Amino acid sequence: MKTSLKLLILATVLFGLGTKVNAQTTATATATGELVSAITISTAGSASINFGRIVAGTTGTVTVAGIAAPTASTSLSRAGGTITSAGFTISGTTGSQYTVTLPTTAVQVKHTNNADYMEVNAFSCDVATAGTEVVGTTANGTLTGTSRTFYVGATLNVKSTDPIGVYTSATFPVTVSYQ
Amino acid sequence: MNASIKLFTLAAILMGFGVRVQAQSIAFATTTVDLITPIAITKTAEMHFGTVAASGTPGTIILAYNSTTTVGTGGATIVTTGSSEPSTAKFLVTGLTGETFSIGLPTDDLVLTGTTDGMKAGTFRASTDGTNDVNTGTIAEGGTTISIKAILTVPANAVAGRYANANQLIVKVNYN
Repeated sequence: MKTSLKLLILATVLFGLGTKVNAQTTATATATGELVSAITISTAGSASINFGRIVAGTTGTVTVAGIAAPTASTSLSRAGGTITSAGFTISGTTGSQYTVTLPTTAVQVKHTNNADYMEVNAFSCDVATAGTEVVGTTANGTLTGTSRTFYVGATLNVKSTDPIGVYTSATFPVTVSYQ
Repeated sequence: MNASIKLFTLAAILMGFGVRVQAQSIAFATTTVDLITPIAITKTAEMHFGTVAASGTPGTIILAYNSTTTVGTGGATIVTTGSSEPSTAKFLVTGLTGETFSIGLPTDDLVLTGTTDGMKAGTFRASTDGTNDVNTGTIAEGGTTISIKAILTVPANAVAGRYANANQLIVKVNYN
């Protein structure tokens, strides 16, 4: 009987340990579920603000609005070319509130000669309401679905002395975070 | 059971850190622009209708793209003997090779001033190939030549003399 009792106790203990292992597994499963709600941002469509073709020789600015299919607003002479805003898609949990942060300092667009450059600033986006541009370094929004696509625009500052050629910037960051 | 709770708590804390790391995400974009040569236009030939003779009936003289004139309507005639040669106006457009541009011509008649007023040049048309009327063109390597033709209106009994309009045949070009 004593031997039999010991065996029974041992069996119970082992059973108990087994339960503990199962509890740990359940916790891990819950953590995996939370990772789905992570907020992410990725480029969508054009990953570039393109100011098109500008006629050289005059000082002025060119503004591409932070909306889908923007036009270029400028007092300078233009000559076609493709005008695009930069598209981004936010993915996260429906109903969550987020903040988008645009560049806070001017971004340089460099001539292919790697010496001359122009500056791009006054970034804007339509993240709060699609099609409604807001200029600023931060903008808030709420996910009404699991994803939201918005567009970033900016202003190019042209100097009369800037030489003709193609100017391209290094990448600039657009950050999204939960509020 | 205590051990089980601790394990669960540890898992929850780890989960919490995971959410914080994923609560911010960054994507990157670029910006680009093409700064191009300004478009320019220079006159390379004046417009000249040659020598014409008026009569008691008003008439018109048509200047073609190939610098020749023909009688349009009415009593004006073309004088060829000992006269100055007619000439189509020509302009050279330069800028970014391959870029298209629009052409703007005077829409009103220009008055040619001479012994008396009344001689008018109008119905201006442009061509880049010397044949077809166009209102756009494409800049070729070295520039594109625009030829301008027109019609001269000769009033009845116009007084003989030299008639001219100095600066009002203005041709405007713009990148499209």
